[in-house]
Amino acid sequence: MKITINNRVIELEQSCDVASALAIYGLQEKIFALAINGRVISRSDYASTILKEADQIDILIPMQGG
Amino acid sequence: MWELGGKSCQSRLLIGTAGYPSLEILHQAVVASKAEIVTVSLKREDPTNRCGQRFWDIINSLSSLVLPNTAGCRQAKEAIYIAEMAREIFSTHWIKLEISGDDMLLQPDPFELLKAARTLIEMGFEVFPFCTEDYIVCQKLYDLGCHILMPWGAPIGSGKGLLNPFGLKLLRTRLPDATLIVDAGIGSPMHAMQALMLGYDAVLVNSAIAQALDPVAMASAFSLAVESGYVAHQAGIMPETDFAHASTPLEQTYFGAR
Repeated sequence: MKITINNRVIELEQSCDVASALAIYGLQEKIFALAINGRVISRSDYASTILKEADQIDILIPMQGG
Repeated sequence: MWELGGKSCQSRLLIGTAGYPSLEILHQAVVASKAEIVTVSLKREDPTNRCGQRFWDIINSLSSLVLPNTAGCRQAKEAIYIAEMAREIFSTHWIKLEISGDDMLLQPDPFELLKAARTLIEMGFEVFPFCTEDYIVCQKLYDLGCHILMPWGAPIGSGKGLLNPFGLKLLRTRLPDATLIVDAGIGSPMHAMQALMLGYDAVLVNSAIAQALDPVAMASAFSLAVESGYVAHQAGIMPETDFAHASTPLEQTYFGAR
């Protein structure tokens, strides 16, 4: 199954939850927000959200701003 | 003390965190500014660059209140998305709503701003719209529930100061109950002082501090200027006149009585 995380294609052997996909992706950041197909997902829902083929995950992190 | 979005603050200076020579200087500048509120933004995570975490560690060490912005958005739907992501990251319902309608001036788009503000307020956000000094737009934003407005002094990063003091003063007069913060265009402490002297509640400064030769010293200068402007406004500034009025009573001077 293929999904994309920040436009990077990630191959998953089987359907999995968000937390597992992030581990495979190797996310280093501790503070971030995540959306799947444009819908923001709360951190508390990562373990219960099962990914589907072609899901697009968007991960945003803090940056300097005015 | 004054209140902003339900929080008590001492300083009337808000500080942006972009464009400093280093994160260490950013940290020192925020401390020197005595600002209690810092603005931050969001970007897409890049696994090869962990600067997001380093930046966040610096912000965390300051114990500042965080005001996330929606910089870079051109449409209401983009800004709403960023606001939702910001709420998730920073655990705050504050959002500085920026929607640009023009790439050269980065002028706020009033139509998209109103559209986004309406939705975000319904979603429970405290919306700080970055807008122009246009009274009608500001009144409509206020009526929607934006009780904190951030009109620009001049285009972002231009350092031109308050280009339309008449319009800003009019806005202050027409919206006496709004919290008004001049955001953008401030280039020197004098401009910040001027905004406070017009009766504005606060200013947000970024480039003028970050791009100074010595950002830490400049942050301190802004802190003093904002304090001075506020005290001057409270003290009551004398009215201007077109002709001279002798401060020394002339009839009592040796050559004065004619």
